[in-house]
Amino acid sequence: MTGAAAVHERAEILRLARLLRKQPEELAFLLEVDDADLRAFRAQVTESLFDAYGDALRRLGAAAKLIPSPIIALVGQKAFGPLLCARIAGELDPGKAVDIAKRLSVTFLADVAVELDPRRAQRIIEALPTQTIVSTSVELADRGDWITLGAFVGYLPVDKLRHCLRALSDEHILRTAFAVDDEGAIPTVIDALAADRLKSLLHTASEAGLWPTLLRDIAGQLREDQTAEVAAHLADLGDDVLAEVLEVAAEHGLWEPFLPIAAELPQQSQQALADAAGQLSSHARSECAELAGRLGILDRLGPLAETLRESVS
Amino acid sequence: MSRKPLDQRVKGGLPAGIAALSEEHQQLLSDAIGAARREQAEALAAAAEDSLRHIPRLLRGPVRKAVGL
Repeated sequence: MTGAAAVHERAEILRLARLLRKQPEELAFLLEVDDADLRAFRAQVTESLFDAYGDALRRLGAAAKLIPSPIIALVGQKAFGPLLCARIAGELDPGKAVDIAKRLSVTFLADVAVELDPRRAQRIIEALPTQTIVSTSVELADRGDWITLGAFVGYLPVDKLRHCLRALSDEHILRTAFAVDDEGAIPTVIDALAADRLKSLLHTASEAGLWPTLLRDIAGQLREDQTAEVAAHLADLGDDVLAEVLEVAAEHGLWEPFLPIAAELPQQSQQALADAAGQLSSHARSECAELAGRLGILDRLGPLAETLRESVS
Repeated sequence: MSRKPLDQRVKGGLPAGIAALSEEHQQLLSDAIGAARREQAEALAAAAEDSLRHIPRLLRGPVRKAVGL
């Protein structure tokens, strides 16, 4: 993969590029920096940008108290634009902000969301009507703006999250998962999915070639009970799909999120994996066996463990 | 215009992976932060004046005072 293509696989670089008004490809030199350092640096840059002219923004926030909401909504769209509205949002009283937001078009709200730092606007996000949040989410998904959608996931109250998930397609959800800023929020998202939606997501991952994101960005963050649920649904999708996921895990080095799922599969499905593993390179099988040993789950892989042991011996 | 080093653009020390970047790449990041701050300042200055045109005359005085124009 070229550097230019590889930056699009790193959500943290895409987020930083957007903040700095750069094309992601211009920041390809950041590929050598790990995500933890990029995240810490992005927090510093965000602070630098949001705190610049903080006094002026606070004064604008104070002036907003004097002006009726319909006029602020007009001024916001005609004079301020999305960038300034996003910077001022954190300075507004949530009640006033909600009253203003109700008067703004969904398109403009989506433009503001692109520039917003959810941490600084959490009280407003919590207070916004569910329908406003759902419409804005759908607008962002229609634009393919996974980075913005992903930034809000950890900041949405569960009831509003549930409505958004209902309104978004499986593919929207999977593509957003790639860009979720707060990865610790993934188990909450899975809990908020309607019954059978998880199975539908797995099916769509197979249809749309999105196994890498499902493994890396979703499966890798799950609780044990959720991993078992994924395994049960995966087994239902059949042996060909299991073989497909195994190949993806080998190709993308995603054994770590895949193996706990494999350990929860019924023996018949583990046999299908064992058969498929025979087609992998001996290097991939050794890598898988070594990691399963390190994770302490080799003994739970049933027939797959036997195939892996043969490749090591 | 003088070019600020990256470690003077942000508060706190640079994360290790960023500090290990070449001088050229650090400067690129520093310049980008500077440009983003300038864009913000320009938008703020333009919007403060322009916004008054949309506000009823009666409110302009109190708003000017609150904003500090």
